[in-house]
This record gives sequence, C-alpha cells and structure tokens, in this order.
Amino acid sequence: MSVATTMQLALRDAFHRRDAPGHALARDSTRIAAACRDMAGRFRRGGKLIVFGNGGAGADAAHIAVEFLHPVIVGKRALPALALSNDAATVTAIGVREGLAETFAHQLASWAGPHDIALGVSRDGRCPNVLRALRTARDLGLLTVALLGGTGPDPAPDGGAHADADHLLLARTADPDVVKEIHVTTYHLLWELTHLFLDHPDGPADDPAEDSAENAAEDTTRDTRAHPRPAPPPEPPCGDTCVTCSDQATPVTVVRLLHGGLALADTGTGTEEISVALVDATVGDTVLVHAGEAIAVVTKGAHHHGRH
Amino acid sequence: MRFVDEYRDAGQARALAAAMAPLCRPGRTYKFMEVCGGHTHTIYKHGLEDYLPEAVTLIHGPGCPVCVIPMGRLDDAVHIAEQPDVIMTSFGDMMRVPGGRGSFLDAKARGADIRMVYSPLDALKIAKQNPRKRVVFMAIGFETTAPSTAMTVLRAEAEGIRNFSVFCNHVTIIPAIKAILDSPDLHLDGFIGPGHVSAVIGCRPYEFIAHTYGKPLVVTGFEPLDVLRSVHQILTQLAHGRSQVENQYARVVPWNGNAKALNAISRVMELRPYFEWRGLGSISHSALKMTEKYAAYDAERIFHIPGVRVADPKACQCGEVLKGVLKPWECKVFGTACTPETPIGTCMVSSEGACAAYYNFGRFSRSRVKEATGR
Repeated sequence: MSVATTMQLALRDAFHRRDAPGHALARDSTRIAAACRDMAGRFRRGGKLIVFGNGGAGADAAHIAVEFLHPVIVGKRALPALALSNDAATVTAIGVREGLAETFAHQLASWAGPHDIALGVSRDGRCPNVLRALRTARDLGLLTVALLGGTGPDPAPDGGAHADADHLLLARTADPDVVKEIHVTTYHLLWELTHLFLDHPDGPADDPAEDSAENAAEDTTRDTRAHPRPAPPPEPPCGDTCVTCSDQATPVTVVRLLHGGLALADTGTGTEEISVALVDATVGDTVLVHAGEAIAVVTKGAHHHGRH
Repeated sequence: MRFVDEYRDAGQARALAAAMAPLCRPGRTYKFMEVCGGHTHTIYKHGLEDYLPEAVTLIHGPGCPVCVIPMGRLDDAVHIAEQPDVIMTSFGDMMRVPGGRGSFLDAKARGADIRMVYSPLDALKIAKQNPRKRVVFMAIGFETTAPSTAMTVLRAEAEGIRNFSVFCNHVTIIPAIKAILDSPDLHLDGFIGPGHVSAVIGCRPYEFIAHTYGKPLVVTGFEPLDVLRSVHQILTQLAHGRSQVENQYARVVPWNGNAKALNAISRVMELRPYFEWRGLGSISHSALKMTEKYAAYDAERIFHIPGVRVADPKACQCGEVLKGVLKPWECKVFGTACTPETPIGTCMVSSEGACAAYYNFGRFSRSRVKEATGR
C-alpha cells in the first residue's frame, strides 16, 4: 500500500469516526432543547450555573462558565456562571484532606441555592467527584445536567449520573477526542438555546410546549390571514405546570388496560401509567386525567348547549 | 389536534363576539366571575378580554387550589417534612409557595427530603420503594384531584402499605362560591362554572346559585371558544331574564358528575367543620379531611402538627385578588416586589394564579391599556 493511500484511508477514517456521533447529536436535539428550556427557567428565577469537571473536562467547565458569563456574541446578556474546577486552591485543599471524590460536592454545598443549575462534565461518566456533586446538587433542589460520553445506553455502570441528572446529554462515541469535540458543540448549543428560551418574547421560558401552543392559538384566533396550523402534541406536565386543576392535565388515549384499575395511556409524547378505576374506559377512548387519575371520558360531538 | 383545533377557530370567535354586543343592555355593565384558575389562564393566554363587549368585565375567582392554601398549612407541612425518616411528596407548583418559614424548596435546601411528584400514585410508589421511611403526600386541590388522592389511599389499603399517609388539604368549590356570593363587597351578574371540578361533582350542586341567588352559571370548558360561548350563554340568559345552570362543556361533564369518583371520596374523606382559605377566611364545611376509618393514613393524626395561624405578608393583597375585589395589577406589589420569580403571595406562584397568568400574558390587554392611559 502506498503512503498516499494510507494517508487517504486514515483521513477518511478520521472523518468517518466523527460522522455517526455528529448525527447522533442532531438526533438528540429534543433532549438538548428540553435542558435549555429548564435552564432558562432557572436563570429567570435568579439561578446561576455551576459547572465542574476534571482535566480536559475541567477546561470545558471553565469555557462553559465564561461562555455564559461573558458571551463572545455581542448583545446577549451575561448570565451568572462559575466553574468549580477553576479554584485550584480550594479543589486541592479539599482533595488533600477529604479525598478527590469530595471536591466538587463540598464546594457545591456552600455555593449552591435551590434555583441554581449544576452542570457536570465527564468524558466517560465515571468521575467519582462529578457524580457525587450531581447527587449533592439534586438533593439541594438544583436542576442537574450531565454532559457525558460513551457508547452504551448508560456510560456509568453504577447508574450514578442516570439517577441524579434531570437532563443527561451524551456524546455517543468511545473515542475520547470525538467526545470532547461533541461536548464543545453541545455546550455551545446549550448556551445558544438557553438564550433563545430566555429571549422568546411571546411566552414564558419555562414551557416550550405551552409557548408554541400559544403561538398556534394566536394564529387561529387573531390573524385573519394565517391558516390554522396543527398545535403540537401536549407535553406531559413538567415542573412548572400546575397539574392540579389546569386544562394542561391533558386528554390522553388509553392504549392498554392493566390489572388493578390501571392503564397505559398515550400522552402524545410517550406512554404513561394512569388509573382508570373511576371511569368506564376501554382501549382507544380519550380520557381526561387529573393527577394520574382519569376523571372523565371525553365524548365527541356533544359540545353545544347543554341541558339545564 | 382533536378536541383542540375546533375550539380555537378565529372566525367563530369573531362571530361570537359580534353576537354578544346586541345582548348587552345599553348603559348596563356586567361582571362575571370565572371561578376556576384554568379559565383565568385561558382568558389571559388568548387575550379573550379583548373579544368581549366593553360592558363585560371578567372577575377572577378563588379556583386555583395552590392560591387558596393559607401560610399556616404550609408551615404545618414543612414541619411534617422535617420529622425524622419522612419523605414529603408534593406537586411541583406547591414547591415554591412561600410559607412563614419559607417554601418546600427552602426546607429541602435545609435538608428535608421533599420530592416532586405528578400524582399521588407516584408518592405511593416512593413509599413502596422506601419501606423504612414514612412517606407523606401533600394533597391539595378541589374535587378534581380529591378522587385521585382517595383512590391512592384505597390502593394503599388494598396492598397493605403502612408507611404512606396523606396531609389532606382538599377543598370544595361550592362553599367558596357561596362565600363569595354572600360577600358584601362584590356584586356579580353570573358565573363561568368550573369545567373539570364539574366532571366530578356534576351540575346539580350549582342549582342554588340560579334558584336562590338568581345568577346564571354556565359550566365551561378550557379552550378559548368554550369561554366565549359560555359568556354568550350567560348574556343570553340575562337578556331573556333567566337564571339557570347550563352545561357548555357537555363533551366532558355529565349532568350528574362521576358517581364512582364521588363515592371514592366519601369512602375516605369527610367534611371538616371549617377550613381557613387564604383571603376568604374560615369557611364552614369547605374542605375535606380523612375519616376516622382511615386514621392510619392521616398525616394530621400521625404527626403532631403545630396548626399555628400565620398572617399573610402585609404588602400582599392576594385575598382581595382571590375575591375578585382587586385586579392583579391593582395590588401594591404586583410586578415589582412580587413576580413569578420571587413570589410574595400565592396568586403569583401557580401558573393558574390570577397574578401569574396576568403577569405572563395579560400585561398588554385592553383593560391594562385603559387603566394606564386613564380612559
């Protein structure tokens, strides 16, 4: 094999290794957007972003913090952010006395408030101090985001990050270099989309589903020229939506009846277990669910003037 | 989307708006109360006030379950959460409600184990997973969520789960409406009746409003056209000198409600002699507690709660807003000291609270512009 051919193959391989993870990242766009929506909600409430990671991921943490705090793009507001790994004195002090695994968790416990966001970066998802800090953050009520790498469904076999991250963002490759590159793209997206949710003038940053539903509704009730476009499917009730009385407590479709008065229902974005013990519902029926309990079967076509 | 698109049609909305104008008697003004927070949310979100005739004003009622919980009850809940081995579970929008000793989130930051759940069933699951812990569910809501709580207690009993209990704060809508009708500082001409509460209790319980107080009430759905149709129905009744209970939301609400759900509630819960509502004061027989038979699932009996009454923050005028005496922006702290990010009063916390709905959607509505320009 000639040198030129070897070069060509190596080049092709180098690009090829970046191909699949890049596409996988694109497929994760909904996850990333969901994380940004929640992050924007926290910033709106006065929260700050706390980032941490070891080694190269520590450098990423610093990069993320400065990205939010002092954006290179003019006209975007500065958002409070700090990287725990930047503080060499504190990190080494805790490391020497308490052990490396305690470093970030210790700092978090002093810095964090319940409105904050914790973002842990780990190339392989196995860094004990990053996992420990995510758990501490979760216990303190922070929004937890994990930026990890690996090929399996769960890069941390002990399940740590899965259990403790509200949002798990993955660079889906085993190649450490590519993980890093995907991470940079991911956190640039995090910054960009968080601002998008913050700046969106037409609605609250907390709920993109509600936001877009609102726009759709405006089209149909206010603008004479616009054609009604289909509203997006309802999202399952999320953190900031009232689930007790609101109409957001969505109509869902019964998919399968389970024993004990329970059923699987299609919410439009996935299936959820609900109780149908109080209604006569069969598969295919649309039921109205409040707090996990179906209270009425939505019948069709009877919406005009009722009896009295 | 089925059941959504057909209730958001712009042409129909305009036709309804046009049909309403001739129903208003010249020189008369009309005040209708939407009892349910879900309607408040719809009205502001879709700018429905701008569709109504000038003479019609919508007043926001007390129907957001988070908003009517007094601070003292929240302090009791925090007290329970801070007992040893307790896991407190709560709906998300309850987490930020400020009590006398801070919110659930503050208590969580102090070390209490407080978790957010979407349903009491999730709370029961946590109890099963943590057999050594005492899991308490912070039950709030009107008759919409009470069946869910009741069914969960019945399930816990059937499955023999002993480490689960309910801190019951369920309230009932009828006594609140009656308190508002009896309140001297408010004169209403009709009611937009709650939709989902009625899916459980039916339309019959409202009949005294039409018969005794002579006010129309129309049970209403939550899409924009639902609300507009129902205002049209109320105006029609008034124009013809009628006062009746009508069901605009028949696609969901059966006239007699959901008997199974009512039965589940009555098996597990009974009326309290009185309950304090934020802004409305103590109202007799307006809330539910666990019955003697289910004492083992009653957090109030299991834990010794202080039960101290806490005065609402002085600056906050949630009470007046809840009674519909003040519009949200007329409150002294609205949008300045009190915002959804840093709420002082409950009305700003839940997305259904009148202040939060107004803050998020309604700042540029007709009434606001009128007020700002002094016209």
